[in-house]
This record gives sequence, C-alpha cells and structure tokens, in this order.
Amino acid sequence: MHHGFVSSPKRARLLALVPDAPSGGRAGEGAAEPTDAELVERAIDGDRWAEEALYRRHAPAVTAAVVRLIGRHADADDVVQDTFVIALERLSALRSGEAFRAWVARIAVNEVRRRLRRRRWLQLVSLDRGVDDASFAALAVEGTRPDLRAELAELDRILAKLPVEPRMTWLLHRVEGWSIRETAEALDCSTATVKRRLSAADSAIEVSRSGRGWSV
Amino acid sequence: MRESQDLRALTADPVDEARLNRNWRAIDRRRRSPRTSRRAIAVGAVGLVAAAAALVAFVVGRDASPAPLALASGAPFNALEGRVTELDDGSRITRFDGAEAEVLEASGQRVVLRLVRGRVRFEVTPGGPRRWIVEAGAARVEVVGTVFSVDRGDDGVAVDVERGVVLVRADELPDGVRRLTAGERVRVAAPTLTASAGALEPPGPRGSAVARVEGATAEVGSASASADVEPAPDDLAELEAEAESPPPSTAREAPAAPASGPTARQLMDRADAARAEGDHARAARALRELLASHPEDESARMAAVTLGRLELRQLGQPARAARTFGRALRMGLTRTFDEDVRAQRVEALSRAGDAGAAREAASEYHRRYPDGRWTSEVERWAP
Repeated sequence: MHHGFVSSPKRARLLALVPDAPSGGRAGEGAAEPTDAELVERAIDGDRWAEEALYRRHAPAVTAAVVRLIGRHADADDVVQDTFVIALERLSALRSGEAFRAWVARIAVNEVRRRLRRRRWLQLVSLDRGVDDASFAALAVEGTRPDLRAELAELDRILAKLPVEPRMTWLLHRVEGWSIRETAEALDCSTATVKRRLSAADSAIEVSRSGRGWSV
Repeated sequence: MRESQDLRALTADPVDEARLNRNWRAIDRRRRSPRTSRRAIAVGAVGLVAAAAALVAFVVGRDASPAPLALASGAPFNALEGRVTELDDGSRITRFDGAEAEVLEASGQRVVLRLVRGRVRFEVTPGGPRRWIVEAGAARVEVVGTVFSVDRGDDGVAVDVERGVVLVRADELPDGVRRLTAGERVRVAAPTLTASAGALEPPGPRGSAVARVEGATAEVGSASASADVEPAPDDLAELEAEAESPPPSTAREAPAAPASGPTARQLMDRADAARAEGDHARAARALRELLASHPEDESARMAAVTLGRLELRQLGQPARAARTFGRALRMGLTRTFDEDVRAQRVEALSRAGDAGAAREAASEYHRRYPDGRWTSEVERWAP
C-alpha cells in the first residue's frame, strides 16, 4: 500500500487533495490511482503534476510525524519542505518507485535528527529562540479537562527526558501508528531494534497505566 | 491502535489543508529555482566567503578580532564606575554597597574581573564574542550570557544566577559538574558540596533564551546559584528592584540552634544532598522537618518553595504541593518568587482535581500579574 501510514480518517480525507490529473480524472475517484512507482517515473521525466501528487499523497503522514518528532510547528514546516525538496530532487537515485514512502520518511527522520542536533547546539550557546508549541499539551484540543491536560504535559516531560532514538521510535509507532516495519525503515534500523526501543520507552513512561486519560 | 486513538483524540491533528498548501507552495518555489545553479551558487558562495574571510584576515590581521570591551561612553573599560557600569555591548554591572572589584582584562575575547569583596550583579548580553570570568577567590564563574550576582564575604562566595542555565563545576560534585535550571541551587562548601534543585521550575513548557554559565570552584565558604531559564520581557526592572534587597536564595542562614536537633542550615544541607543524589523523598522529609522545627528561620521560605516544587514535580503529590505553596505565599515572597509560586499553585490545584480552587488561584494570579510571565500556563491549567 502506498500510503499505509496514513491512518487517521482526516489524513485519509486529505488524500483527496491530490491534484487533478492532466486527463481530468481525480486520483482515487473512478480512474485507477497511479502507483507511487508510476508517479515517480513521471516525476523523473519532469511531470510536475506527478511531483505534486507524490507530495499530496505522502505529506499528511510525514508532516504529522515530523510535528510530533520535533515539537515545533515552524521547525516542522522547514523539515517537511526540506524533505520533499531533497526527495524530489533526488528521485532518480531511488531504485524502486514503490519505495518512495519509506524513502521520504527516512529523509524526514534524518532532517529531524539534523534539526534536533542543531537545536541542542543552539541551546548550548544560548541562541535557541524556539518555542515548543507542538507538544502534546500545546496541541490539546479545546475543552480538554485539566487533569487530562496535566497528563499530556506530564507525557511531554517524560518524552523530553528520553533519548532521541527511543523517543522517535515511540512517537512514530505508538502515536502516529506506523507499523514496526515502517518505523524501522524510517529510522533506518532493524525491527528488533524498534521493538527494543519501544520496550525501553514503554518502561520509562510510567504514566501509561490504565486509569489515566490516555493509555499506552 | 488504541494508544494512537487516545492521544490523537486528546490532541489536535497538526495537519490541515492550509498547511499542506503552504508547504507545497514553498517547495514548489524552491524547486522552480534552477537546481544545479542553486547548489553551485551555494558552493560558490561558501568559497567566496571563505576566500574573502581569508583575505580580510590576512590583510587586517588582528584588527578583525572583536574590539576590546569599552564603556557605553566609549571610554576604555578599566574600572567599575560608581554603582552601575554600562558597557558598549549592552552588558551592565551593578555594584552594591561595600562591593569592591577590579577589571583585570577587557579584551575582545575575554572579560576578567576580580571581586575583592561584596556583591556585584552582572547582566551579560548573551551571544557576545567574549567569555566573562569573575574571579572571586575560592570561586570562579564563567559565563557567556546571563544575569547573575557574585557575593564574596568572609565566609565564602555566593553566586546567584537570575537568568540562564548554569553549569557549575566543582570537584565535590558528582562527575565534577552539575547543570542547574530554574530555581535550582547549589552550595559549594569545603570540603563538600551539596546541591538542591528547583524551587522555581516553571509550570509548563518554557521558551528558550538559554544562556550558559560555567565555573564555580570553591574550596572555602559557600556558593549558591539559581537560574531562571526564560527571560521575562519586562523583568529587568523587576530584577533590579529585587537586587536592592537580597532574595531569599542568597540570604545567609544563621539559624539559632535549637536546644536539640539539627539546625535549619543542617536540614537544608541534608535536603540539598538528598536532591543531588536524586532521593527526593528524603529531601522532602528534611524540608518538612525544617519547616516544622524552624518556621521562623529565614531559610524557611525557600524551603517551602522547594518542597512544593518537589511535591509537584518529583513526588506526584499535587494536593500537598498546593498546600505547601499556599504556606510559602503566606510566609511572604519576593515578587518573582511570588509569581512563580502562584502559577505553580494553580497547576498543583488543577492536578489535584480541585478545579474550583485552581480557578480562584488563577484569578488571583491574573489580578496580581495581569501581564504575568506564566499567564498562558495558568490559563492552560485553569481555563
């Protein structure tokens, strides 16, 4: 499945934003939806519609994941833009068009890593001016009870203490709903490593017991 | 997955059509610019800049280095001027009564001062090219940018950092270093050093403006430091006002020893040591004992603030924290402490499930601090 990690109904709806095909048919409606491989092939040939179609198909999941991983809206947008610019510029290096999804996810994760390293450096030299405006607490929906907000804030605090790789593993799999395999591909590690990191992160997240506002 | 659904149900989906469109437009703009030329331009630009820098360095030589630090008037910075010394990089040094300090070096790379005695407050503009060093006998403080005071007395050296994140280095510390954040306190006293954390940690996520401080090696006397990570936009005057009267964290405890039992100082040290070891429960016991046996001691206020934070952050006891914060407020706090404690009390009450009391506390916070630093956090806990 090309967009197996598009798991929420809202994001699925966003797939309908894939631009109209040159033939006039709307992707996903009636006419057979082009595969990633077909789109990649067309994009390599300079078809801008295919480029945008690839973006529209995969950007929702990539954007959501990047926002979770990086915790700041502005940084997330930068990463998403960098990710797709890199991906679309290097399409010819992609061996199989069907692997586009995993490939773009891996680029996004690497960009997140780079951004987080830069942030840590900036913090060391007092130049980090960003605000974590995309934490769980910050994204709490309107009307969330205070106790649940408190739990979300607590979760943010716990996650912030986790090392980067286990934290990203946990967020991609537990929150974004990526499969173990998808998570492993994005993080460029084995599925066994993903499971190990998940176990470590789960252990660290003691607030994950039942009776809380959310469960893990 | 249930966990995904639970967390997603509680949080807004960060992806919407507007965001996707906006990002695509940005991507498309970047894609439309010539690819090869962009990379070539980037490489060329780097090369040009490097070449230009090398040329400038070659031609100008040492003139390319930052100019020596000068007074705001442009005069050389050879000595402190009166009570307040303002420097051309925006930094500011405030000397309190009886303080004596001398300028050892004020070059483009380093500013070195020797504090002979008394208390001096430094507001070092962050991000500057110079490393500031304050030599204060047994203690040495290095800083890139923050607001801090150094107080040297006969009994030792105290360092209070009002803003920034601090690295304190001392042989007595575990691994020789301790990173201090908001409200944390460290004492370096021969032959041991104890550390206590966090009376002033903010109630929620905070901004950046992080400064780095390194230093403080003390062999005699004591040193303490507290740090507030996020600079409030309007707190310079407030901090200045606070500086007029030493804040509780710098107060020297000279508790009257009771007929039996540990002194307030001993209990505070015991709590500090426990916190340095991560034993928060033991630290809380020591602080509660201090409050019970030395309620009039001048360290009691900070003990209450620290205890409340421990209960809220480390021990998961928000109801107790709310009571403790209430007690701290009744004891009377300086403005900054008062604001922080009131904000954290809102969080504690909310987390304890007492929404009504949290709203009342929030109203009180808003009334006292209409433009408070924690307004959004307070609103988050008591909407």
